[in-house]
Amino acid sequence: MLTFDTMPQESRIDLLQGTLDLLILRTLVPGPSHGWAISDRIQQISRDVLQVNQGSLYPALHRLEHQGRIRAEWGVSELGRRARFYRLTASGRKQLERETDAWARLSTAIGRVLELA
Amino acid sequence: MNWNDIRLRLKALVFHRLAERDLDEELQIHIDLQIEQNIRGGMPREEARRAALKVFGGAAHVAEECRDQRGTRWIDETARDLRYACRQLMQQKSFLALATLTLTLGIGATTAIFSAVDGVLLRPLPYRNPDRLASVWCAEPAQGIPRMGFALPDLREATVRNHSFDAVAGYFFTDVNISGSTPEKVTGVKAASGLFPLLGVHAALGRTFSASEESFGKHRVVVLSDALWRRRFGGVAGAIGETVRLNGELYNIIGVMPSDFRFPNQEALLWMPMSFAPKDIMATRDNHFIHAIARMKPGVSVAQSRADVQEVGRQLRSEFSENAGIVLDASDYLSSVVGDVRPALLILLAAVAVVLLIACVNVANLLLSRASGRRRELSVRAALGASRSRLIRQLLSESMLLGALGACLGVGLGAWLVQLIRTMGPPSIPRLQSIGMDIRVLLFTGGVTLGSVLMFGLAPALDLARTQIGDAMKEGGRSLTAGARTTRFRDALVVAEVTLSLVLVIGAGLLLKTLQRLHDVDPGFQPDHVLTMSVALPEATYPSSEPAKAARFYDALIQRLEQIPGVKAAGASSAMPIAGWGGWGKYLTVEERPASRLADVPLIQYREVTPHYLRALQIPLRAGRFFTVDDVGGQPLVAVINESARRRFFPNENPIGKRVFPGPPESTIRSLLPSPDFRIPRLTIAGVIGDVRRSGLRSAPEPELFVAHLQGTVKDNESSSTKMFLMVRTEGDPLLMVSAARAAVQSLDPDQPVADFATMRQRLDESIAPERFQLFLFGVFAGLALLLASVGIYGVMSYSVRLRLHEIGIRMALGARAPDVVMIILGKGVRLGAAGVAIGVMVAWGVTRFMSTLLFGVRANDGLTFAGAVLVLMAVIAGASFVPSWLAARTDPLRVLREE
Repeated sequence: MLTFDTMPQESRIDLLQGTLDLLILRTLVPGPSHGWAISDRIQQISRDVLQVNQGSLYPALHRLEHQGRIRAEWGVSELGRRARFYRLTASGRKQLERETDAWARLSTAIGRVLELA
Repeated sequence: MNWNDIRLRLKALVFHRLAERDLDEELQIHIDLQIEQNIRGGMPREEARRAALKVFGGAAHVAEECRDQRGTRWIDETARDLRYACRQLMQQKSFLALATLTLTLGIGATTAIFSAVDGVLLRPLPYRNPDRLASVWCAEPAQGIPRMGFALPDLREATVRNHSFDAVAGYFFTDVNISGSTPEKVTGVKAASGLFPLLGVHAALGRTFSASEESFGKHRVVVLSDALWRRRFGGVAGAIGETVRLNGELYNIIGVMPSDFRFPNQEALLWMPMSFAPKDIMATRDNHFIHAIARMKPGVSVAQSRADVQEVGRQLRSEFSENAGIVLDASDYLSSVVGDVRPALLILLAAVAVVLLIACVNVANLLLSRASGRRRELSVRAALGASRSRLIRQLLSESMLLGALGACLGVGLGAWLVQLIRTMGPPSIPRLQSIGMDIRVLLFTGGVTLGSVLMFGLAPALDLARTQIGDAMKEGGRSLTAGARTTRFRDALVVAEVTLSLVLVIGAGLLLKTLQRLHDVDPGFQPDHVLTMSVALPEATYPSSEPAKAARFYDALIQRLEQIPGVKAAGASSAMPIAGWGGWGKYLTVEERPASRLADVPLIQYREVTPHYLRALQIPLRAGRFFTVDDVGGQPLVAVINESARRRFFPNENPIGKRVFPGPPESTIRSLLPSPDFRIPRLTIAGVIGDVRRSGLRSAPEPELFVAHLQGTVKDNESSSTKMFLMVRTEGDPLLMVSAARAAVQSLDPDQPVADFATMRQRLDESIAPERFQLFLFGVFAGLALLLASVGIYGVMSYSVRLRLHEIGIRMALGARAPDVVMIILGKGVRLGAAGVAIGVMVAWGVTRFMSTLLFGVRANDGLTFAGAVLVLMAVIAGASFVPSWLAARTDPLRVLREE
């Protein structure tokens, strides 16, 4: 199980393994980005519901890199500093599609159970 | 795992620093960006930094998690373990030296013996698809002949009638005299033209012979071995097409074989077509001398071809009266080449494996004594959070390092031992000259090392890591005391060492007794001061149509040899005693008791000898007389038999004056006789002489019939033997006579080579060379085992003294005297030793019978040998435990107690 923090005052939510991977991959669709920007973006878009713990983010990035889903290279950040940028690979895109489908099916299923059971 | 993954892992490994720097920088940037955001959000700089670090958590922890994703962590850790292990081992140089030496000896010896086993028994022969080759032969079980060659007509029948072989090729050895300024006798092979295609080997130069060259008259072509071509023909391509005089006839050199080609063994230096003159008596159904090799059809198993060949044998038995009692058999070719030496080599491999096992036990023991001093270090590491598996891994990596060191040095030692085995090994072991270190042997060494490391490293590592941390901290605080379990384990190792050593010492003892028994065997003659040699007269110059010519040559030669000063007597025989060369078996009929069926006619070993044969070898005359110079053609035909023949054929009567003949009763072979009233010449027995060992000292003497070489006409339709072995009894060193003897031969015929010079003593030594070799290796292994075991016992005893020093101090303070202290420690050593000896005797009782084929004159469970080995072991145990006990007795009780 992979955990990451939600807003400080709420209790931790355990998310299914791979969910963070899915979020990272999705965040990279618009273009390459570095670690801090990725976590910032997830936080902003989720309206601070999801706050990514760095202790999970970087290992996940390195794992995805080893799996060939993303590729890393050094570049210059928006503030003019050196930063390690991650870019989606073709295999990463495919993975994202698969995971998104799976996620959609899962959430629909859970939604139906919650509504109708 | 994908390519990307492998690339990144490699990168992380190779550019370790770079990857680390990247990671640090990446995490630092994250923190910096967070700080900037916090400042933009209105925090003061210092607070912004603290907040960023708080959110980020432990940077080191995150970095570690990232490193895990690389999947190279275990490599990093292993490298760290190995570095640590190196440091640890270097700190205790005497331990390192002892453990490495022990492993080197064990692994080196095992490697060497395996390379012999691999090179001799396992490696495929250097022919095409060697596993499809089979050996086919004849046997006559009722006459006690387990294996003999084919007669030419039988070989032809078997070739046509079998359903299992693509091809069958016959071959036999032949002596070849090469003429020239230095005439020389070499061993050649006459072979069917199909032999080379069957083996799948081509000539390196020129060609091999064709089927048409098997027909008599076109057969004078020869294919040379690379060695002979280089030695005698200068190694020039122009040798092809030249002629060379072989056995007095001109042969055309048509080819040279590749340098690595040997067939059937390294003795054969040239190959000629197997060809028989139209009425050659060798081509008859009762001359069994042709070996046969066959190539099995695809899909046919050895068992199938064996059954097939046996069926052909049955057909031949029912169709031809001469084939009565003769069976055909087959095996895979490799086992027919190496089958005889397989048991000895496998037993040596087992013995060396035992040595390796003892070496492992010893190293395990050393590791354990070392471990007791490390309990503290390990408990500290455990207390600081090292997991048990982590500790075991670290201890194993030390063992691994020891193993690797032992393997490297062991391979060096093994290479040297292989060299030694090649020089010392008896020539009777086939393919021994081609053994060496190769990738197969190295792989084996690697595997053996890994197994050894697990064996000697795992138990101590598990034992140590199992220790409760708290206990060790408490224990380790002051004394070296180990748990009772560890002590018991170490005692068990000592018992195991004693057990294994005893088995090896018993094995060596049995082989030693075998060699002694062989030395005690009476060869039947006086072997000192006898020079032996062989002369083979060629058919072209001494034709079988004129047997008297060869007989005259040897008669003259004997006279010349006896004229040499220092020669006491010279004799010749068609067979060389001890060496097992020459001579052949013949039917024997006692005239007054003829057998009624051919299958019931007994066989006897048949020899032609000259009158002084008896004096030259100093064989005792038991009855009657031996041949004299008057026993020549035209005089009454006489024979001499040996004592075995007298016991077999005349058990209760005086054989002198009885009439016998070397053949079956005429009534049993009527259809084969030249004329219906033909009679095989009768011989009158004139004397009985002592038995002489024919082939080595192991085989019991066989019945022998001797006839006078100058009465050559007695041998029904056979020619006088043209190859004779000469035996010259001298006053002084027989080897000083070699050149004079050669000169005597060449004064009669300058083109006639003499070969196989050796003294009878050398032949005797050579006949027991395999036994000596086995004893040497086994003795070395047993010695090593004893040495290792005594080191092991010494180690355990010293350790147990150290553990009990306090107790000993108290005992001495209370009045125990030195002898009492010695007895305490010695008693423990002897108890352990006795347990090992008891188990060892039982194990040896069970396994020594596998050595039976190697033994002679001693049973595999010989009580005296067992008792002797037990004594040796007990002495070693007592010696190895006495030194520590004596040191213990010299302890100063006050000092020990004060230290406490």
